[in-house]
Amino acid sequence: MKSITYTGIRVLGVVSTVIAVVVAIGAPWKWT
Amino acid sequence: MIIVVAAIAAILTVPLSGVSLAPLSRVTFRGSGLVWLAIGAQIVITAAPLFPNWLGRPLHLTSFVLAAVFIWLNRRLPGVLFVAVGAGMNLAAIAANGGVMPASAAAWRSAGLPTTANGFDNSHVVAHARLPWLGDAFAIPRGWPFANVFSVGDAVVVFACGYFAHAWCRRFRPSAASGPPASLSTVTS
Repeated sequence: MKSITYTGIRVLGVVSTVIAVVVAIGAPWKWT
Repeated sequence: MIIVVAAIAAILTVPLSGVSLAPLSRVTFRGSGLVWLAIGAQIVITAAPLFPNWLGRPLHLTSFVLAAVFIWLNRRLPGVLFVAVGAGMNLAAIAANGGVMPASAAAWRSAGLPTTANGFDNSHVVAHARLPWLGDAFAIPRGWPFANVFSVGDAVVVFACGYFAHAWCRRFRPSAASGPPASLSTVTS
């Protein structure tokens, strides 16, 4: 049984990577 | 940053629909360092003042190659096909215009973005742009939160984020097929 903290950190890590993919593909040129 | 905000909102529709995000903890990405490397390259070429065009353009394309390798390594995850389509649309527009994302003049004006560039600019109005419909042809108007320009490819990638989160999290959702909880079985039998 994984702790809630472990699961939460893992979820945040996955969401961060997903957002990073969005940034790498679509967002940086909007950083004006 | 409208694309990032939209992607976060797309992911948040999962808990808003009553499904837990906890199954995301089981996702294992392959080659995630490639994505961060791509972002690092893009930050350097867009944030560094007076970054030369001759170096910025090939580096911009290289960052997309890194993202493409990441997508290929993770092609078995749900929604990655949509990510690939969105990325391919953006890459096609950038590659066809020498490493710059072509923006619509109307969208650029609407978003209130500066008309002059200092150094490398990874998105800007391009005269006689190729594949302009794949460029930054849409805008959140100036005065609105996160006013900026965006492309069809960006919208596809945001959709892909939501699709991925929903498909993955619902995959691990307890289904009716597994039978009622033991306590309920006791009551009904």
